[in-house]
Amino acid sequence: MLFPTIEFAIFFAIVFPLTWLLNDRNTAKKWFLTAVSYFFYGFWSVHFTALLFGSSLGNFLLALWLERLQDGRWRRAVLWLGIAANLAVLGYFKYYNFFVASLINLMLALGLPIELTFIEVALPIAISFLTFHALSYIIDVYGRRIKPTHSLIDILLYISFFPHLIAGPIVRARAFLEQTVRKSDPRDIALGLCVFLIVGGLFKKVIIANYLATDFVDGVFRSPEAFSRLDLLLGMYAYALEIYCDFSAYTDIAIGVAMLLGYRFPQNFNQPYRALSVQDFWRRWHMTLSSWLRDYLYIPLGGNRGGRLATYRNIMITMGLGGLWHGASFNFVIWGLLHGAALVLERMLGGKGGEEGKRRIPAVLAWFISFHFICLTWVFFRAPSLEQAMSYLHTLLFGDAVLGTTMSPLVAVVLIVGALTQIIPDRWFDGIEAWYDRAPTLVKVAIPFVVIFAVAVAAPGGVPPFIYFQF
Amino acid sequence: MSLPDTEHVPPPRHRPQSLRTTAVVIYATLALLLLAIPQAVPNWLKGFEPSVPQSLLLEAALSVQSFANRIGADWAYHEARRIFLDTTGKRED
Repeated sequence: MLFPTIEFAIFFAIVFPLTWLLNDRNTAKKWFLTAVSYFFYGFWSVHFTALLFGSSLGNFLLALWLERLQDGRWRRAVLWLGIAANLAVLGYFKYYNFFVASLINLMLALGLPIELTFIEVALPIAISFLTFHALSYIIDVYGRRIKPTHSLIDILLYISFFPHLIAGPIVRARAFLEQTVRKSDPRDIALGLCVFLIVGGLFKKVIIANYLATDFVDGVFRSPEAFSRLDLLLGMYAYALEIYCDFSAYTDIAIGVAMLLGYRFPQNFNQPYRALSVQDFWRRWHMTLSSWLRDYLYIPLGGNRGGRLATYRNIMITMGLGGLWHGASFNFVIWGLLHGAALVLERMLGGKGGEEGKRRIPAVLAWFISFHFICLTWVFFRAPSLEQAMSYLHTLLFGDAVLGTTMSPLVAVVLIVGALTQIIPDRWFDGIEAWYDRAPTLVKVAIPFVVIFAVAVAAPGGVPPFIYFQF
Repeated sequence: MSLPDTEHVPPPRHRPQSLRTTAVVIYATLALLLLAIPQAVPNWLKGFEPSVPQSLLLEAALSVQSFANRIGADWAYHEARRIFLDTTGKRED
């Protein structure tokens, strides 16, 4: 069930009043929300709901076990058991064939051919996100940052809650569980923000991301050698905006929908292409993943506590694994490692945090370099294979046809509108929300109606799935 | 790697609205969309396997569509869509 569809509108129109009707009976509300979340997940695959339940139950019991153990070797062993179990499930479904293929190729290159069997297994949707939610819970319980909940329903809801289940944002257990112990306040709904996030998300996904993908980006990435260098440059920019509008649309709608049901999620994007450095980009792009990687990988690896070389190593490991999290492909690993290398370089040039280096060059130049580096790395992220990525970059730099473009006027307009999402100052959005909240009810209804109507008028025929669904 | 704190969810800056206003906005918007783009629901329902609930729902959706047609509520959508397609050179899938 995709957000911008009729089935989701009907689903939400039923879930919304029932959730609030159950608001005074918190446990019943949680069971209800869990049931509808499993229904939401079951829309893609009914039998993977068992995986969702098994993961939640397993992590619930493991957290209770951790609570009973004294600090020491046994407790650490139980934590590692939990981490290994979660990663084993993720590895089996998502990475098994990738590792087998990589091992076969490696042994072949070493002159030691081996035979290993591949498995035919469907990838459960959202498995990466639910694994990260589960891991954050047991690691925080181990670190005694949160007390484990003794109520199974809290964990079932935390891991399966439908707004964040499929593609985030990644909500920390502590931030979510503290919202499950009390009822929501029906007099305190951030309606302006919700409407803004939901209709803005629909516009970004249905209009900007879809037209950029279907009318331009898909073509130039399919056979880059058939396009001019200008087209490939524009294709790179277009993909940067497409993936931003696609992914941020999903999390914006997720945040808005959750808020309408009385739950708050953290912000996930903050105009990432305004970044003046790669480090700045990661403070603005998929912020909940960045902070997850920082807290559960980079810092446990030692962070910046072990000297320069150890810090650089930890950054590279974190970014490499962060890349691999996106999918079983060397392209994602290369993408992550390139970002890691840029973060290391920024530290080398600018000291701790790269702040000094940032001040050494004019802001416009810093933005230009950062933006183009980020766009270039997206080529590895988008291209279906390493060969295709190299072909894209080779044609971009050395292709025969320099000028001339196949970009249609519609795509050009969409590209400009997409770029505006990065330029418009935050305070304008705040002003619009504040104005909306003060407006009469008639205007409150008219605004979402007009925007959704306009989106429907200009929408392409079908709505493809969100890019981050595959992760 | 220093990042803003995404662990703690900040309270939104807003003027709080009541559940009643929120419900009015949600359902009035959906109702207006149902009238303004009335072919959407029947088209969606036609994609399901024929069954008793499907045919009942389809019948109801078709009634809404013919009502919207009669009062001219879907005129704006068809006109706007035609202008959009003419301007962009795109075709209906």
